[in-house]
Amino acid sequence: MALVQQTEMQLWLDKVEAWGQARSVNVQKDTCLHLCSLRDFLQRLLMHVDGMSSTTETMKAIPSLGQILGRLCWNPVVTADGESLIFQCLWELYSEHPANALERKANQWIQKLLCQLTTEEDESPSDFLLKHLDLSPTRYHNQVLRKVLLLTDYPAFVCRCSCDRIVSTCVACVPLVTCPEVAPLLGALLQRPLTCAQATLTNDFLDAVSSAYRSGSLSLENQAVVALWCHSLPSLEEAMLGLLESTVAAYSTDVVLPAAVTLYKKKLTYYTLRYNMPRNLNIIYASLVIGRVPLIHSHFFFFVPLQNPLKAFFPHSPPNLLLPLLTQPPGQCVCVCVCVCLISQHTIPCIVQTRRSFLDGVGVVFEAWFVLVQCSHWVHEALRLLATTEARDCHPLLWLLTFYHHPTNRGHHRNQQLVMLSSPNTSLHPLFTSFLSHPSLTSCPSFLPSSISPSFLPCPLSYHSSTLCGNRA
Amino acid sequence: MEATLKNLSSTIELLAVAARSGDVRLWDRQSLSRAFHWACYCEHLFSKYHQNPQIRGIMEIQLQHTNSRLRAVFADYADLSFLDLSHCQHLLLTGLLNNPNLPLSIMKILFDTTKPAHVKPGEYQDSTGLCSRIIQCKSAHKILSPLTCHSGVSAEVQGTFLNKSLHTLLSQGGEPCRAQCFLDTVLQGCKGAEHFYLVLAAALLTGENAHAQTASVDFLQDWLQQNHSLLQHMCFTLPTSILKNLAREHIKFRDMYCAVLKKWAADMEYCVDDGEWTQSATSTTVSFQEVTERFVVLFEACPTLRTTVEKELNDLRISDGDFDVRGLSVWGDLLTEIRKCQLQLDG
Repeated sequence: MALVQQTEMQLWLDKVEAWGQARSVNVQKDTCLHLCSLRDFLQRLLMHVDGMSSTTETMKAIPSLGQILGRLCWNPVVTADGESLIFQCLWELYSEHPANALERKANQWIQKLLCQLTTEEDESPSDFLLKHLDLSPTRYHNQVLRKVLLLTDYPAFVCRCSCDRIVSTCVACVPLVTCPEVAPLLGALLQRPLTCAQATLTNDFLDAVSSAYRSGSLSLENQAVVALWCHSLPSLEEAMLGLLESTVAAYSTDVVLPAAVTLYKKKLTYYTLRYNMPRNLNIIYASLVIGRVPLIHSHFFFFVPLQNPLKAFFPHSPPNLLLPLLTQPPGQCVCVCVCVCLISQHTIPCIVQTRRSFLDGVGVVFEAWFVLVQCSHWVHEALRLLATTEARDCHPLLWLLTFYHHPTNRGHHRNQQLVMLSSPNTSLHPLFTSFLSHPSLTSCPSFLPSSISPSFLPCPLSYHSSTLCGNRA
Repeated sequence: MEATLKNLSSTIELLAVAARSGDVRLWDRQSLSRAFHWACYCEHLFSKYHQNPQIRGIMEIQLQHTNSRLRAVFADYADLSFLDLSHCQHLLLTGLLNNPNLPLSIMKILFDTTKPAHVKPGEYQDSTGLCSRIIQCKSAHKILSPLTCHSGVSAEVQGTFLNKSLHTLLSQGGEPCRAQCFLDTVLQGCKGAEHFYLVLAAALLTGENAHAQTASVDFLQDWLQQNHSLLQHMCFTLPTSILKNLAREHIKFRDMYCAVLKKWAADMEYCVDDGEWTQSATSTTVSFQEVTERFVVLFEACPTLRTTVEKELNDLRISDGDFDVRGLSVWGDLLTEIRKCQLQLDG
């Protein structure tokens, strides 16, 4: 890291002088906007001073250091910031065994400054009054902060708030993410519905919250955490990686099961894990991560129902859909497989078509698709059965495949898609039949759907086109 | 009881050592933690016994003995009272921070920022990061306050606690003058500070848990009524917006405020040279114009009062000779100016 140059010191000195005690909103806002660069500056300053042998040497090398630190100590944005290095910088100037008058004076100044910051009051409530009210100064400040938080009216952020107010609150909260009392306000900001493009949460705010949550300095309720993940994909990916890292080397139920329960409680995360994350991870790690997901799924399906009702995790899906889908296909009995696939084919459309409310319908469709995707071995079974089932009996299997790739049936093109798929399938069927009758050719992996590794499914659209459309020629 | 008195005495001695002695250089994390534990213990003693006159008396005697011993050891020692025990932990902290012998290691513990400490009332405060938490709270307040467009939060918090203390004293039964003594002592200690009037106003305007606070709010108004000087200063010092809210919410206060305004008017004399009514030399100098405006604001808050007060002012004008000439009756001139202002507002 580069040392701190004199020009940079002068720039910051001018800046902190302009900020003063940051009484006004605009000055506080400016400080918040410069907080990241200030932290970086203090970090480099700390390293620079750490290399000095004494306070005397430090003061000779950086004469303006005391001024800068002294002024920063009276800026509430700096002192509220849990990641601020302001106190560490002061310790570097403190001499445990002062060798001269300068060092003794520096010690006195530092101790006096810290005492004033802790004990002095702006509004003079007087110790006398607080004593009689049985209110210690520590408790008093805590109560005042809680009152101020209530006055921000943050519970109403969910349903009403001006765009300017949301943005200004986000900016103000950047240095406050490690303050426990402010956590409900942060949660309210995160859970506010996105009704206006101008009232989006600032990137600095999201980064600050993510960083504080990740380091354990901030405690958020589950709903606020999920809302954070919705706003900030990197924080979601980090959380999921952390969860999976803890299960990568562990195969015992004790470790995997809690991970499985956590994954399933946050269904939204599954989509990201399955389809978005692999694009951002390196290939090796992606396959390692994705390879563990089915392990988690299998543990979930076999062990969770013993302890928790499945309804809690899949409220929209009835038992007659869940139970067949969650049951592993028993061996190679084709009749049973066909039967179960038919059940799937019959139950899913019923659910999808009978719901009247649009939002209910979307939720139901998503949940049905979600369950099917997790039980993707059924899709493989369907593909396998396509090769052996007569063309006239393939409709349910093709329906399952189209639902897997296009769950929403947007534009109501499902029937069209089925017609489109029927034709190449009918054409391919003799080919499959002839391959099956020549056992020596069944070992060639490129023509059988079952060759696709069950532990990794690429993007459904590319798979679809490669198996049914790509082999047409 | 003997053990309790001994512990109390030892803790007071500990506070003195923390604030004045060089021995604090030898303190480590454990010593610091134990010191705060003992300070918390004393706070519990206060909470438990401050309403018990008998035990409180015994403890006060013990404190006197300990104070006199410490005065002999430390030249600048200031006696601690039983009331001081209510925030023993803060006394310990302040003493340490002002002790020039405080070692860097202890300062680093107190200002640690790595671990957020949660403060619960009446519980032991982990000393790690104690100071950085206090500073963080104060700073967070300064950052968030501008977002609320609301000032006077600290007075509101103290007003709430004033109300709670009064409520506790009144609900415990016993001697009725204890609540009165409590308010008198607080008044004496605050010595007419403007902030104290804001606290009193906040205590009267506390809307939370209205049923539980009625007795204490009524008591406070009665106490104000007995303290004419305090009431006048309060009405003179507080912003008219707060007085308006007080008058709107409490009929008793409305009538008291109205009486104060009439008193201010009654103290006025007409200056022929200036052609104005002015107050004779009093501690609260209010102009005739201001008295007029205050009446108008009061009528805005309490419209039903207008008719009654205008009739009273008119009766007083009649008793002054029923003149319509300016300068002969403050009541007549006041009535005229109020009506002019009302017409302007209504127009």
